[in-house]
Amino acid sequence: MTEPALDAERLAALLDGKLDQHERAELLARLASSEEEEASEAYFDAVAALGELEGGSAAPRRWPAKQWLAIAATLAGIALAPLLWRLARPPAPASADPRRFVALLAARADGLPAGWEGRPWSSVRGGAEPLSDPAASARLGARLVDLDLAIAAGDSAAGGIAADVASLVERFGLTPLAGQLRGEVRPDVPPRAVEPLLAYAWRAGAASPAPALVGFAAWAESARIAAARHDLEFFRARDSRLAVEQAVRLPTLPGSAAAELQRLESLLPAGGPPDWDGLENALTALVKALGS
Amino acid sequence: MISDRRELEALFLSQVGWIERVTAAISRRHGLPRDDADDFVSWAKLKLIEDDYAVFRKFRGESSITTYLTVVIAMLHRDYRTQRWGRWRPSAAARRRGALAVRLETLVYRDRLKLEQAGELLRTSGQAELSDRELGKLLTELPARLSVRPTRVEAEPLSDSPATDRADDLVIADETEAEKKAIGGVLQRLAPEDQLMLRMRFWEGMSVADIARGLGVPQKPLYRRMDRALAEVRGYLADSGVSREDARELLSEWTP
Repeated sequence: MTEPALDAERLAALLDGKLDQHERAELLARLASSEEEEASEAYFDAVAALGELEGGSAAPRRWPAKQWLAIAATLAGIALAPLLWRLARPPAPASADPRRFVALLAARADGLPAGWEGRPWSSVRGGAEPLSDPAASARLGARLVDLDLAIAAGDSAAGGIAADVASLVERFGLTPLAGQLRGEVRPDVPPRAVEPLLAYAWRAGAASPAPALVGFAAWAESARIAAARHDLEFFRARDSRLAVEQAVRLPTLPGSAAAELQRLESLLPAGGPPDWDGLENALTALVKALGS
Repeated sequence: MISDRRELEALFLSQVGWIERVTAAISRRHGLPRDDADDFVSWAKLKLIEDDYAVFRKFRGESSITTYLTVVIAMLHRDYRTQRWGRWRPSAAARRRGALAVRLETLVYRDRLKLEQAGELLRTSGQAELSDRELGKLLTELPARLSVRPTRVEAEPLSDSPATDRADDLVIADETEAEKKAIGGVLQRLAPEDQLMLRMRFWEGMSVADIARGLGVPQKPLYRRMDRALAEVRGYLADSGVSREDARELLSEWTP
């Protein structure tokens, strides 16, 4: 392959909506220039191929109505540039850095709630039926959340969760990673030492057959934990709200999960504190549906 | 970045299904017949594992691995095409008209088959049911092109000359190319994003949903934006002395 004039990964980041406004504008200007005609043609091919393979899902990125407020403020001469940029930037898809949902939890260092059942789907399936790729991807997302929290808190359950994650990534062909997870997540290894491995395990989600489901299940499991802890801020966070909006449009969302999501939407806190027990139950049902 | 060879191999293996789907999608877009498409997927896989999985080693995690591989494979396709057929690529006009037009154009202009031979091949392979006359009509809608493959003059008697039997067709095709150049010149006066938007829509025949993703913008306002950009193009054409009627005719090729 000849060295491309434009870096393939930057173009991919543009397609994934991961560039900021300035980077995006700069890259598009380069693509439009006559010097980059071949790169732009390759980029168009990539966009068309993704559109076809993802069912024309070209995730429409909604720009918040607050943008108008921002424009009005600018016209009035008020310097709100940093805020405007944050409000106007397109939301990242759920598959982009699903670990960010864990970071939204208020008491991350406390680990998992006591007696946490991180595998609500096992009681349904009984392990008899073959696991589908979307279900395995969703389980990976949910279990990575548990693993992240367990490692952060030095929880002895981390080894068992790591073994669970290992069996899932093994399924996606990441055998060496699975071996590392089984061997290196131990009570005597401090969280900091496991961090690179954990980061890599999160990236493995992108290699799963349904990365969007990894992301959404990571949100759902994080939300379940937030509900158990009455963590209202988690549900108020912009990324959290967008995760639900985007999930509705996910072409890979199983029908049973879509039904649970619909039920869940009426329970999500709009203003004040919600019915926490009802919310946790609905989220558990959602995680179960995603992983089944 | 991953450096362990076993992990790189595992990552590659985990993506083989996606790689095959992307290569197939790009092959379809460029009208590659099955043999060429199979050849491209094998070639692309070799390129992806070349130099100890260099493509995977370079991956920094700034995007999803699937999107990254899609862009890499699209770039590889450009290299593959150049290696096999020189600078050949289907015309925008053919891509807008769909897979059959791309295939027909490729057979006639790249592979230098006569229209009857191309028609026979398309019909027997089940890619078309059109008669030669109908295929000829489709061909007249495409720009006439010179083959990029070197050909021996003595092996190409005039009677074997490809394309159509009508001299008018070549004139029409030349006009189409001239129109493309004229509009291309005007496009350069637009903002970069608007240039890309119109190129994607009218030269590449892409859906508005795909364009929205390619530009990283919401889909809904794109329709109005596209209308505005086209109006701007009309304005520039008028400034260049092109009459309103001629501009409308010129743009009719580029608008749905």
